[in-house]
Amino acid sequence: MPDVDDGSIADDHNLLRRVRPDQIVDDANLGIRRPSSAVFKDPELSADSENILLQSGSDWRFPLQGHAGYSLARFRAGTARQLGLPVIHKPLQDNGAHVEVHGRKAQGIANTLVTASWWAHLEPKK
Amino acid sequence: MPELAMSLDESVGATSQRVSNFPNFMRAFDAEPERTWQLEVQNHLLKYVKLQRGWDTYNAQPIGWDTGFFALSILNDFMRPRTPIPQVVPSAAGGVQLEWHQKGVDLELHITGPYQCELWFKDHQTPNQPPISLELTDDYSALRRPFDLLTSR
Repeated sequence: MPDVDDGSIADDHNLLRRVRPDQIVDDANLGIRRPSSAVFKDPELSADSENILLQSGSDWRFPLQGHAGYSLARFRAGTARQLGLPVIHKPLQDNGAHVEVHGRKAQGIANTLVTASWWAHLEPKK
Repeated sequence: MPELAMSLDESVGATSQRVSNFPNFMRAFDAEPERTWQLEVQNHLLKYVKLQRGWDTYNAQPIGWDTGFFALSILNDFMRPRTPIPQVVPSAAGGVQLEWHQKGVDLELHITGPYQCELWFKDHQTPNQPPISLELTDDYSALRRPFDLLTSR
């Protein structure tokens, strides 16, 4: 399947991205723990569509299965598109909700994704 | 913001005053390198350079030794005894990010190899100024101001 944003992932789809514990930063300016912008730097950023998970009877817990200790950030597909990033549905054999957000994410873009994201699940700090 | 300009000027003035009153003390205090950050940053980097492809459970690239060494060399050039220690984060692009989010400063250095660095800098005390986002290759002078703010505030 060619890597084309065919619009099958609607703008209002929530995308879920696992976050390693060492990619969560303490932001003393905002008084919060949040994902580092380094989380979003992958030029082929994998995520799962929460809407597709819900349609298939699953939910946000699915991406965390087998990944103890990970947190889960959520952002909208439309946010990525507004930044000029194609959102491509790339189902995997064991994960029909898999999506990739393509394109180079300069620091400004990665930080916009951070600002627009919110936690689906945040592991307590150890 | 006139109040801010005034307070910064006063702050600089106060520092100059301290230096002139206690020149030997200030010279020694500023000259003695603080080694804590080096140990802490090195420990993180040593962990990260051992990460295998896909370390983020997706398709993250491994992080090279040369990237780690370059991150240390940047810090060696700009860290001062009272500069806060950065948070060191592995990057999904295969690199490391040094970041500070404190004292009203957001500073991020995303490093993917020697002389391959992206700067992100935002000063919350000057909200009307847009964040600075730059690619740095051989000129790192743009780091001076954010490091000065982190050290002096």
